[in-house]
Amino acid sequence: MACNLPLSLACVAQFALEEGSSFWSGTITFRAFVCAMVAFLTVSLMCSDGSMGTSNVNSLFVFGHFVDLVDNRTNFRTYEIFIFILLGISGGVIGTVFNLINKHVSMYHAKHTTTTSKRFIHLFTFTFVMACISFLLPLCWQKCTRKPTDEEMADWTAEEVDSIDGLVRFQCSEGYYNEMASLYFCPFDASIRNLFHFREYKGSTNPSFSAGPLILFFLTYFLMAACTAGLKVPMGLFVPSLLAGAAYGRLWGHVLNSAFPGYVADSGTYSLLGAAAINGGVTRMTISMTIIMLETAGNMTYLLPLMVTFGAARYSGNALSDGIYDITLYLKDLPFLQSSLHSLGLLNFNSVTEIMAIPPVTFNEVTKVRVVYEALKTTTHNGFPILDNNGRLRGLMLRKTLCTLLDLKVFSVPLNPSQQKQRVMSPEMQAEADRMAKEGKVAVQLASAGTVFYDRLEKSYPNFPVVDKIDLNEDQQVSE
Amino acid sequence: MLGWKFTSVTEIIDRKDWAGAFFSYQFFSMFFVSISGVLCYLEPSAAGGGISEIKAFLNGVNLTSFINFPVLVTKLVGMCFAVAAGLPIGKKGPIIHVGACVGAVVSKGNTLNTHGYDTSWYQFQDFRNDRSNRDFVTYGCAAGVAAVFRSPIGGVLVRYCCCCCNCYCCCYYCTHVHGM
Repeated sequence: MACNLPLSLACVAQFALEEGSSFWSGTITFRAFVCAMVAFLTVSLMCSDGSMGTSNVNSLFVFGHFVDLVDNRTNFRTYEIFIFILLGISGGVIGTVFNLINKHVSMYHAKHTTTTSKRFIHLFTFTFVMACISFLLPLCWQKCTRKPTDEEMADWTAEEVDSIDGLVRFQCSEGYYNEMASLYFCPFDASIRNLFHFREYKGSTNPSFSAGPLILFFLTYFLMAACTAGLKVPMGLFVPSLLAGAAYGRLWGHVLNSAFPGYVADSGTYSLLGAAAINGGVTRMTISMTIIMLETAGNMTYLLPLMVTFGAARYSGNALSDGIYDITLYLKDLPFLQSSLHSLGLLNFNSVTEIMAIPPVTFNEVTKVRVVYEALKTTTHNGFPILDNNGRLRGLMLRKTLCTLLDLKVFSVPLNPSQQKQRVMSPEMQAEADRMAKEGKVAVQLASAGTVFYDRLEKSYPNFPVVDKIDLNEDQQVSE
Repeated sequence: MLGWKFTSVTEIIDRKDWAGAFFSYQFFSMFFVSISGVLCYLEPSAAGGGISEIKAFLNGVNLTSFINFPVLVTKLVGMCFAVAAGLPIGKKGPIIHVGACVGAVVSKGNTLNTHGYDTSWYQFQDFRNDRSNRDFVTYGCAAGVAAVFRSPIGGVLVRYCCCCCNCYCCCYYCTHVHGM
């Protein structure tokens, strides 16, 4: 099979990732794998149609199952890979336009749409405009197209025949459909399926989706999807970018079909790869999206085209702007450390004094509780350097650790003389006490502080004790 | 909900009542979107995509307000209504966020913000630290992708391609190109 080579290469890539990278934690990957497996199993059980748990094929492939139209032939020719590269590059450019529109709309709303009422007005206006578009555009598209007859569908796959049911009649009579309504006036998952699977067949007057509705749909939908930024509802970008891309890719297939008579380009394939191109241009994810698209399409032969398209889209997109997620991170002011600091040289101009307090509040290895307590109360520092007797840095103590220790009251309390006598000392400690007594020093004997383990420190996670809520009496404050 | 909306509007269209169909369509959209909007007004963290936040969270930014139980519920319900309103938005991103929330809630147990309910499960005490929490968010993401795209391996990979630090991703990208 033609798919063996790229598949094995992809396996090598996967293997190199799993075994060769020290950042790739095998345990986490395996657990994520198990999680994904269980989730998939649950979905399969829920999708099964009751006949001994057999799942419906359509329900397992979200965007429908792509099958080989001709036996033992891929749905594309090998030289079409170069067309897919062009498709990917253009997808990267379009994705960049999407990102930039999204960024500027988002910035506008962050600046101007600040109150609750304005947000709701924005939301309702947007919904109104969107509903107008999705209702009035099909209404204006007066042309009714004939549905393919049963004879014409004789050699169609089950998936393609099913996609006919997804066509929307709208104002047309029985047996006809409205092309615009089939894209706009239905759930968007259904329109993706229509675009992916409605076969465009030659030598007939029926062109499935013609160029007019595709262009109109692509432009309006793309623009509206890019302008959703700043809406205060939960929303994702996958389906919009896939749907706009599906229309865009189908346009390519349609143009190729009509520009070169006799040349059979499968519009469904172009639709899938157009979706990949725009999605790659918007999100800039390559490897995981390749696998996801492959698994949603259900056809291994698309591996190479998808890899090529995603790679080209990412390459051309990254040359122009950041991916949408990086832009969102930047807009939300999240402190995210980018891998490529474009202004890395600037770091040299930031001195340590700009980050740390001057002078730093430090503790000795053994410190009075009162000192720690006062320092915690009077400063807002999150870490305190620990110095040994020679003034050398031994480590850093975090505020949460100190607070937890104070809260647990694990510190050495000075013993009164009666307790000192009763206390059983180890021979070493006894010798040390004797030596200090000889040197004339008065050793305040301390009860040994309890040992605290790490999990005890982290037990109060995530709500660590705050210093203001810790009460220490005078007696405790002189402890060390 | 979407099916309900489209069938009822299509019935009106069949009666050639264009104005009625248009207004009922508008009414459905407005009604659904208002529910979603009110939910997001109550829990502002649920608005927006969510993948960026998860990306930041997995790279060490402590965003507890974005990943907890109220956000889970709000995001799930709000997303259903927003999609039903016919907005050009996707439901895959929020589902990934919901998966991450599930992971975080299972791992974290006692959050500050569960409206007074004590959700601390003491049998899971070993998971009460930042590291386990992050790992669980990862697993949640993987499960979310696996469920929504029916794509288990893609789910495992998303952790690396979208959520992990880009410096790793560069290396993966090179491998990807080489594999090609």
